[in-house]
Amino acid sequence: MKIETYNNIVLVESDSPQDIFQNSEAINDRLEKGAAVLIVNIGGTFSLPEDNVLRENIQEYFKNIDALTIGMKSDFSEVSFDGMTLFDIRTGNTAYSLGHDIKLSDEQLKKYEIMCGRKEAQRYKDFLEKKSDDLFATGLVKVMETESELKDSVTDYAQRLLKEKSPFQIKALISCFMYARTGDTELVMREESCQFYKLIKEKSEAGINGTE
Amino acid sequence: MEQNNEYFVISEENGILVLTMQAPGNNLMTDEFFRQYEELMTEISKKKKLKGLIIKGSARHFSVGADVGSLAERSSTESETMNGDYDFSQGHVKQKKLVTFLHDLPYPVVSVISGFCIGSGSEIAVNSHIRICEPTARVGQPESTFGILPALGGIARSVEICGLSKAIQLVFTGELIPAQEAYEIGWADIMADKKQGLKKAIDLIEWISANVSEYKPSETECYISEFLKNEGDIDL
Repeated sequence: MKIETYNNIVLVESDSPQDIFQNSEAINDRLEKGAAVLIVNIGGTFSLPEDNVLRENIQEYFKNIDALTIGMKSDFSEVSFDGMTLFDIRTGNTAYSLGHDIKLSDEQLKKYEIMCGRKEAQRYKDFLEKKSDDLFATGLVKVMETESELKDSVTDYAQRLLKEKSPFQIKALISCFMYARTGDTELVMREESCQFYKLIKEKSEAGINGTE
Repeated sequence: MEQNNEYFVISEENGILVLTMQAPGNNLMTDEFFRQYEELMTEISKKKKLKGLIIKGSARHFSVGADVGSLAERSSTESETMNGDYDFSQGHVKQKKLVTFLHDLPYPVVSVISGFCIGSGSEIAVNSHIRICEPTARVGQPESTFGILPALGGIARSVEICGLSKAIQLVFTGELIPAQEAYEIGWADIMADKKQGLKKAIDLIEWISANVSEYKPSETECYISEFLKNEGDIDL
């Protein structure tokens, strides 16, 4: 698997979550050296394996990655739902739609709500009650409307998220969103307060040391 | 019924409370703002038989958020007495509770937003069950641009209502977004015409009161959907 690092971004190309998991040591090494975003250029369907233990290990790995994770592909229509929702953000050139032929499980519906929010989850439920041939345009994929290559657009987007922030602040923010991946609001609430005070303390110490 | 303290006016009619913020500096959330807010919320939390609570600004803006300078100073003092990463000061715990408890009230809490609704002001709105935006609304969580982050539920609730990826963008960039975009990403539940937000909020609360036997916050999206269908505002 090809792994590249640009400033604070790790970029890999992969067609399976298992491949990412098997290369986790090399990826983690880059993240520990200061990278804050993992972008995966997705190939194929990016499906999770059938083996339940391996599947859980992969999901656990992605849940605990200490970085923002972005899945990138021009068209997500062939990508598995479980594979694409491993990422915090999905980016591409076209929106992702769901038809009535795709039945999301309860677990997948919960994941959908975490990814897209309550209002969109309710819109999707309303859509399912209407029997029609229409497609439901989801907000799962951030559509990059740009003339540039997708990879350039996505790395620019990642830099926009990180700009003018210290590595310490970036890690503090990421820490909150890591808990948000589980959908546990109380844990996120607690982590917000924890990281807020760490940032205040760091600012205060920087002020005392004249480094602010 | 109407009662005032200096920074807030609260009125009640037909079982609907309307809390109007009228603090100096476009409802700048200073220590005094929070002191008076706490006084009022303590009284409000004792009221059980209400149809709903509406929160709004008195003039052009909902709230420009916290006084960052005094917040940083107070928080810095508090951080020195913490024994561990999760040993939060009583002051922070109380202040956070006064904002986040809005979500746990047994009746709909609706924030009506015009103008700026940012930082801690936005956190009052996202801890409400429902957000109605007028066209002038500009919302955001710019804390990251000051080197900090939202700590009164701004991250947690933004994820709940907008989803993980949009919440990441809102919080990381700290950018303010206009009303229409707020609606498109799910932050705003309902759009209202200029100066019509309060009426829309009252209509919504009256509809819920008439059609829902027991208000469940987890069903809010469903109530809004039905209300809008009933109004003819929604076309699925």
